[in-house]
Parts: sequence; structure tokens; C-alpha cells
Amino acid sequence: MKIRFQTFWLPKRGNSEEEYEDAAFPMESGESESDEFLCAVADGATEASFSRRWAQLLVQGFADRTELAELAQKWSDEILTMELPWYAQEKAESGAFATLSGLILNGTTGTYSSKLLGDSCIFHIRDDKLVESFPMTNYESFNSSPALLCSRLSQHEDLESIFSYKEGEWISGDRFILLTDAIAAWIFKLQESKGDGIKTLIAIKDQVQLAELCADARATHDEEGRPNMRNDDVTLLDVHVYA
Amino acid sequence: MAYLAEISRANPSCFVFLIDQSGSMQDPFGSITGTKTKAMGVADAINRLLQNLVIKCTKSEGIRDYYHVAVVGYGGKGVKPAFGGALEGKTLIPVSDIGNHPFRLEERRKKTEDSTGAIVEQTIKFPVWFDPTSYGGTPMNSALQHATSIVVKWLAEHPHCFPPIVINISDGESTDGDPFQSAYDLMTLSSTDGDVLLFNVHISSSNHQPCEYPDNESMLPDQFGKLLFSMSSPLPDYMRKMVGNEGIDISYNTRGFVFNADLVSVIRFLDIGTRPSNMR
Repeated sequence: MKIRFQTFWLPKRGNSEEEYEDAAFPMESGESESDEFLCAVADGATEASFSRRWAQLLVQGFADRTELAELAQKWSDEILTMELPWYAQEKAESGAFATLSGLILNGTTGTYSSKLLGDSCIFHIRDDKLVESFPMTNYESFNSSPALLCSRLSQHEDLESIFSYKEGEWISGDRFILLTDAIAAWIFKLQESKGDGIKTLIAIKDQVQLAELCADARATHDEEGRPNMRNDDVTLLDVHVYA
Repeated sequence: MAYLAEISRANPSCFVFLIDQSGSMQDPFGSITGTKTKAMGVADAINRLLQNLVIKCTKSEGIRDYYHVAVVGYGGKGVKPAFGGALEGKTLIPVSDIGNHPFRLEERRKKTEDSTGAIVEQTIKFPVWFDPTSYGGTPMNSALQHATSIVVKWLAEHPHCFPPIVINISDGESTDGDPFQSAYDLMTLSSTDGDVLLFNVHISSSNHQPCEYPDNESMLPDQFGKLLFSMSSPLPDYMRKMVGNEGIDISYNTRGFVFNADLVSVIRFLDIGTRPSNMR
């Protein structure tokens, strides 16, 4: 199985690159040839602190198949041992939060499997058309309080049950595009209103083009006065798979 | 559609809290809170609120100035900023200054869960910015005019901000004239994103059931309650949803007002009134 992958990302408008709180693995662009390929995106919650680090650990950990408990311990060891002022300490003690959408492509069986939590989204594309998207399937399904994985794992009563899983088959030439919520919601909105969401998505070829599209969508508004794209961090991981 | 503006460091919003410090505030709250005076209960609630606000604005690199905050006391000593310590005498302060300059940092014991879920007792820092005080009359009219002067200046500098929210906490009637016109002047100020929101919390020494978020004045027992209702802004859509999620009946006329509040409803009201809608 041959894989070609590229990742584009940008922070919220008005924020610096250091303040970007999504994460992707791989973060760079490249090619690989192997029987198995693992990739993921995660969206660190703005409301918490040190979410960027948690999101990074989650995507890296998914690709390495590291246990969540080990990732949570690593986050805690790094963050809670820092010398922090009272407010930063109290905030950090309540943990960091992130979504996770991870994808495993198997070259031997021609199948894929995914592990999903929250509203980061995977679009399966074949012949420039959407085969399906998961876990989100339409614009309406996005809201301001997606399911999130907390770095304090004890916050979750049943850790395994919070994830959903999706399996399927791929054929040579398929694409899987992993997106965090703001751009995914915008793509659905375009698809549902004008029918050109998927066309727009698959035409994104580089970082500059993504930045221009997002700047425009953030600055224009729908009939209810809401920005067409929420001002949020944006991550796009585009994976082409060939037999 | 109003109340959609992003709250960010480039486009911050502001809160103004008006705190009644008149003599009657030294009476105890209703039986639910035992011997704690209303002044003590409100001071605790405001300190806790400021702490939560600072924490909400805290990110990995420090506190982001999403808000500027004024806490103004009114009582026998007139109308003046209520912060103590390094912030004494200051009116509208960026939230980072509040976080970095508490009057004092008390240590309190708190039961919490460790990373394995076991209950452990932990020492936590409890920041205090202002102490209870209670003396003299209730110059609510002047306090509202003072809030108006703060908000007018803010809006001139931040015309596109999420509208400022003013929360007035009092246990009695104004002693410096009918406050309606002053309240009306304040409520009709606006940014490009909507009118200024004025909310009122009337706190009580009695054990009467609080009347929370009424949507018409007939629910209120007397003229004073009706006056405060008329001085309270209707809740914007996002806040109506929050109130509804608390199990309280809401309608399009629901106002940001609690009459006969006990300490529990004061804390809940402050939490809902200051929860951000769109912080980036």
C-alpha cells in the first residue's frame, strides 16, 4: 500500500501560531509505503489550558498505539509539576480536553478502521465524490459542546464506551480527509446550501489556499449574521491511498 | 442578530458589578445560610466569581484579557471602587491585573479526586479581592449613574464589543431617588452587537422562596419588585438557553432578575450572567 499525505493548518484569526491548539499526526507532508498507516487529528478545547499538549499526545499516542493512561500520566507529569501561579495551577488541575479522530488503513485487507470522539471528522472520498463522513454527517449535528477526552481520565466513568468506531473498505485512489470541526462544519454548510462543499474541500492543495478560503469564510456571514466559518483553529490532513 | 460578537483580546468585553454596602447588608441571609451576613455572603460570591473569571481567561501562557471588570460598592460612604490592596481605587481593570493582584491569598482545605479517582484533601489558594462592608443608606441611583459613566467610556473605545453586562446586587430600595431613569439610560446604551445588559439581584433576609428570572411583573409581590423587574434587561437568546438548562421556565420576556434571592440563587445567577457565549 502506498500513501501520500499532507497536513495544512492555521490558528484562530487574531491568534499566533504558538496558540494553535489542534494537532495532527503526521504533521508534515510526505509519502510512505507499508502494510499499515495510522493517522489522527485532535482538537484541543479552547476553554481549558494546556490542551495543545494533550491534543499532540493523543494523535502521537494513537499512531504509536500508546495506552491512554500512559498519555494522561505524561501530560500530568509535564504540566502539573511546573511552577505556576495560583490561577494557572487551578486551571491545569481540572485537566485538558480534546476531541480525537484516528484512522488506520490496512494494505493487506484493503480495509480501514477508525476511533472517534467528538466532532473532528473524517471524509471518505472516491472519484471526487463523498462516500461517507463520520462521525458527523451534516451541518446541524455540530454544536458548541462536543464530546471531549479529559486528561484526567477518572472524569470518564467508562473510558472505552466514550469512543465510537467505524470500519469499511477502501480501493486504490481513495482519499480520506481528516478535519477539525470548524472547517468540517463549513464544508457541510457549503454542501447543503450550494452543493459545492466536497468540490471545495478536495480542491485545497496547499497551506496558502487553505488560509485564503478560511479568511474569506470567517469574514463573511450567513443570513442569521453568523460567520460562515467559526473562528477556530483549522486542521486538514489529506491522505491518498493506493494499492 | 445581536449578542454574537466574538470576545477576544482584540475585542474584549466588560463586566460591572454594583454591590450594595448599606447598613442592612449586615443582617443575615435567610435560614439556608445560617448566621452569615448578606454582606459576607455577597463578598464570598463576588470573590469566587472573580476567581472563576480569572480561571476562565487563563491559558497555558497566562491570563488573556478577554474582559475588563469593575466592582463598585455603594452605601453610606458613597459610590466607589470596592477592590482592596494594589487595586484599591481602580475602576475598570483587565482580568489579568485582577488575577495577578488579589488583596490576599487565603489557604483553604478542599476535598478533591486525585488522578486515580481517590478522594484526597488538598490545600487550595482562595484569592480575596474585596471584603464585606455595610454602613448607611442605599445610593442605587448614583451607583447606576456611575456604571453608566464607566460603560459610556468603554463603548467609545470598544464600539463593536460583546455588550457590557452590569449586575446590581442589593437588598433594599434606593435612598437617593427613583433609579428607573438611571437604569433606563444604562440599558439603552449599546455596541454594534446589542444593548448593554443590566441584571438585578435582590437579596433577602427572609425565608421566602426566591422568584428567579420572572417574565412578567405580576409574579412579583410589591411595587419595589416590579420596579427592579422594569430595570432588568430581557435575557439574550444564549442566556435563555442556559437558564432553561437549569430547569427554570423561560419565555422571550424572561428578564435577568432574581427577587428574594438566597445565597444559592445569587451564586447561580452570577454564574449564568457571566458565562461567556463566544470566547476566542
